[in-house]
Amino acid sequence: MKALKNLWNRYATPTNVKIAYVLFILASMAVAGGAPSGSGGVGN
Amino acid sequence: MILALAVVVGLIASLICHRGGALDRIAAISLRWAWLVPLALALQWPLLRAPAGLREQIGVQQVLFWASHLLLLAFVGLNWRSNAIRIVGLGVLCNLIVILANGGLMPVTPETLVQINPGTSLGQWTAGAHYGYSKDIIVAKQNVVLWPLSDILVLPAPFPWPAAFSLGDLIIAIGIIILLQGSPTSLRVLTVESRQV
Repeated sequence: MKALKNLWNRYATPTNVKIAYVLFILASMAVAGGAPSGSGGVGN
Repeated sequence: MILALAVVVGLIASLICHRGGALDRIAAISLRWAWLVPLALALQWPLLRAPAGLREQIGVQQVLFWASHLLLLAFVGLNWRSNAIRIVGLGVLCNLIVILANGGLMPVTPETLVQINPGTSLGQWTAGAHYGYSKDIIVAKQNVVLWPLSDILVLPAPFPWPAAFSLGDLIIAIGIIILLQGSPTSLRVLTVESRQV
């Protein structure tokens, strides 16, 4: 738990958190706005 | 999910073009009411988890799917000042138009499905069925309304994740890649901040 807290303190800077937030929103936008067909679906 | 690759491509392009400044540029991107987007995705989740079946079996999922587009369009409208978001919005609109024109789901033809599912035959893909775990419905090519806007672009095998996508999907991907290069607006913010420091 202490190691986790150390990692958080070291890497979760406001800039890094903001970058992660923007990437999460854009990935969500890509999945929600797009409508691609992947392989492996089942048709009938 | 293939479209999420646009984020990875955009990130790599930004790191190559802007090197050390790339992450600051991305951090400076300002998105208003961004929570609307994951909320829209949450509304689509039941459809994305629905197995193949008749369209009538996914009535509720379809209504939630349509409602999610209101949230996406609201997000685009609230961030209209960004050129990249306008491009993303154009892509969403292209997809929405063809979805509505074909009864509420993205049409995909059996021919396209054979291309992305090697080893299958045309007869395996029944027109009118929901293509499982997607936003697509299988429609014979001659019955697709606004065919050029449907899932006609194909990334076939040996691409690791064979997929078919639409012009709207491509426009969304381009918009996301451009957005990750940092907008002029975000650059102005960076300039002001660096002067203050």
